[in-house]
Amino acid sequence: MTPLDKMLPGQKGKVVEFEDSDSPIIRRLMELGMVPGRYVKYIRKAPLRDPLVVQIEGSYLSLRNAEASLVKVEVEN
Amino acid sequence: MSKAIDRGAAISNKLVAVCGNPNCGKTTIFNALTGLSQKVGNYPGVTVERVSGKLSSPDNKNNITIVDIPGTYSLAAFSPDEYIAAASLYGAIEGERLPDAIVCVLEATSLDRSLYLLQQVIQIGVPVLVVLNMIDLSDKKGIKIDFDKFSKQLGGVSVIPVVGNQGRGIPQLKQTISELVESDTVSNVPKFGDEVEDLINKLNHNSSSRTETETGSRTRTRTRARGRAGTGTGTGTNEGIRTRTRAELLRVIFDVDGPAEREFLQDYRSDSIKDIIESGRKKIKDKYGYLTKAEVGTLTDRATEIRKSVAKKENEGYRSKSEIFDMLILNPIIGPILFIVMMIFIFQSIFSWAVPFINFVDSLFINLSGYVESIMTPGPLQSLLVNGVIGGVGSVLIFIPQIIILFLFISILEDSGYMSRAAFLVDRMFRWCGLSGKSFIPLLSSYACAVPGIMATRTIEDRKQRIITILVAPLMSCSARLPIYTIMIAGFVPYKPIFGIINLQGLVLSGIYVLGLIVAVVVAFILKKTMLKAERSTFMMEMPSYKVPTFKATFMLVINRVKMFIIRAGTVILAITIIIWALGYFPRSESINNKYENLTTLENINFENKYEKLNTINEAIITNYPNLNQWFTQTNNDISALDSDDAVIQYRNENSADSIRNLVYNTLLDKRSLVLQHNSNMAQIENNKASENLSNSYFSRLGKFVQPLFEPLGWDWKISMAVLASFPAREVIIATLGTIYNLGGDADEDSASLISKMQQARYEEGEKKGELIFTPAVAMSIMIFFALSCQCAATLVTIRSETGKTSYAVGAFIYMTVLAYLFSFIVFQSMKYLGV
Repeated sequence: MTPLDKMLPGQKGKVVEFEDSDSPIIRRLMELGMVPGRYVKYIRKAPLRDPLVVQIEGSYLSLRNAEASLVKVEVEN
Repeated sequence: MSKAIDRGAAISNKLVAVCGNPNCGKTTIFNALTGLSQKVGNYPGVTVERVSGKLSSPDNKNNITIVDIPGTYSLAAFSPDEYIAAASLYGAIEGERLPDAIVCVLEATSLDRSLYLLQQVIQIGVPVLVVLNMIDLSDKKGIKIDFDKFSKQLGGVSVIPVVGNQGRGIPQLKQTISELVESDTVSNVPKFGDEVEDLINKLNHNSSSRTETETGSRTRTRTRARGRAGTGTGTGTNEGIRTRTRAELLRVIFDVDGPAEREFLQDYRSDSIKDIIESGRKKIKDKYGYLTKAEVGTLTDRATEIRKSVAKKENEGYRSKSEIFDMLILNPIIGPILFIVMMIFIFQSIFSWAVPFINFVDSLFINLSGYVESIMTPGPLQSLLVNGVIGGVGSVLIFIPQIIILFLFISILEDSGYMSRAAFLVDRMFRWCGLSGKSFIPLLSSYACAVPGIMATRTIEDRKQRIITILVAPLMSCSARLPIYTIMIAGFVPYKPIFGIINLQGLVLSGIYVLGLIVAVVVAFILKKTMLKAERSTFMMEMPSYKVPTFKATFMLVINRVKMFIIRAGTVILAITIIIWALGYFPRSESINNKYENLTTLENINFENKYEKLNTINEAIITNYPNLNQWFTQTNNDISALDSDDAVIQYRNENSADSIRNLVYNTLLDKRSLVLQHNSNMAQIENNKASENLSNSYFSRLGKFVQPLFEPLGWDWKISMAVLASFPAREVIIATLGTIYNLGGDADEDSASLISKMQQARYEEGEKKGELIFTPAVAMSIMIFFALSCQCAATLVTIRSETGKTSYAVGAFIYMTVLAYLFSFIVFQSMKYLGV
């Protein structure tokens, strides 16, 4: 499993689990669509390499590397 | 502000809340529903803006008030504004009643997220109406939505497709709202897992079985429209404690240590209820692995299920327009360049393109003041109106064009979806000093006005980032500072080119703006490293799709902001202006009055004698040479039009003829010189009188008392007083200077503008007698003081209410005032030392 922030632009993966599941950050990430079992696509990094944009269920989500690292993803090849 | 009204007692007054995700087009729909009847107020006890309006519909039998709830992703609040939004929906805000119906706006292009919020809203238990917005976009994306099935899946709620920005579907929506508040149909409330339902029942049961003695001394009363907690069984009899909706009980359960739980425990002060919650949570965790999953997991799964059953799947190969825009706008090279160009464009338009409009408004006020002066008899009332009210308030109102332009841009950037991209681009740069990309919007807004800027920090979920942003936002040079910069730069900074293209005036102006930003960044860094060290920092944001901003939404925002500005000018600023005028006008001394009356009489007698002598010669010539009559009239007209001594001399040199005609020229020109001299003498007398009156006034006595404090900054007593007077609202400085220099009389009839009066102002006494008061060093010192000091009562009040602590407001005031004094001192003293 790969932390979300270590994926490469264009890669797709399946959300598996979180670090620190009951924190408000994870709740908000889940509410924004980052739910275990769903597919996430890594779109791009900001010009200064942080934050990043991912696509999940049709919408675009921007988050910092620090938050993205809490999401563990199974990368599709 | 709406009062809590019992549903039975006032059947015709209905409250309908409009809610939805941020950027779902909710405000556009709200605008379409209410038209121009909007009212901007606050929620009881907090400064969260509460925008409401009446449903504009011809067959509106009930008096339906629509309230626009701030955009939210969830009823579980992550930020202060989300808490207000959520809590006002489920009826937990004191003094705000539970809505009679809720309109939940869903974004057709991101149904999953919208459906998540909708399911939480249905849990509240009031009639819900679903609006499917941006149906045109989902059509384009190839998403086909089955509305009947949708309605069935949601337990029978009405689903209305709408294209908010085109007004499609709005009449039907209005109709349905009117019907809904009448019918009172509530959809089936979906259930959670057994462990969750069990805990809800326990909390419900516990609260309804409490006896009055247990309530103790708590006397809190909240009028509630109705109790729909749990499954609707007989709750709501508890003395003094309000009944909670099912939606609120879910917040008590799932938001550990959140506001709902805190309030709940406060209401039912007993250890047993705390234990019930804890053990219930443990059971849920045992079943689901973690608490959040029981709610969020269940609801997101159900949302996806509903979406899949009603909407045909999106075409995978489709690249939306937003993605194509993003490739450009978020490009590592083009993106930042575009961002910088856009910022330069905005500032350029505020500072140069607004100028003709400002001059136009300015000329309106000059004409108005001239007109009022001409129709009124001289005296205190005339002076109050002309010098106090028009001179003071007018000098503030002329900045309306700039306010309009700035808010126009902010509104367009926000509605188009660019603001989120800007936040994304700059987040990394802001982070080192404890801010985030989300601070960008509040800080940019603060360039217009810190009050909406500080309010805009509500979208920052992170408390540390939010507090830092609030504390540094007033350092951004707001539009109220612009007038003083404009006047000081135009009057005392020479227009000279530097490096060919840039000129010194523009450079100084940019410098002042950058100074505020640099100081803000340094202060933020210090705050991050010291007082707010321990807290975490996050940044999560949805990137909305790009939209064409609607004219109506932009227009409404600009109108509301301009209204706020005018109200401020009409209240605080007017009051201070009148006080300043009174201090400067009174006391009127009889002896000064008499002295100048005598001087005026003397001047008049002197003038008339000389004038008569020349007139006699003229008349003799006309009688003796009737053939010159026509020529004489023409020449007389020409000469009467000469408006300066130089013009008179030039005319004399250019025109000569026979001796008779020369005699006519000479007498007419002498007469003209005499009239010019007389006018200037009279003005001089008026000026001396005004300035002697002003030096005799209370204002001057006070000013001379405080002046030593500001001596190191290079200020005279007039500036010192004007600055002190502008502590409640900084725009007052212009009004005050305008009033003082108006009262002080015009230095020269031809140049009535404040700038030229200040340029000519000299010390009238003391060791500096005869020296100019305003030098470039003094102008810089004033500008820097204004750039850094917190002269705005409204900002301080906003800081207090947004942070909930008076100490933050006091802290902001002190640190900014100290910085302002220090920087002004350093700049003035070094410029003086360098002899600039």
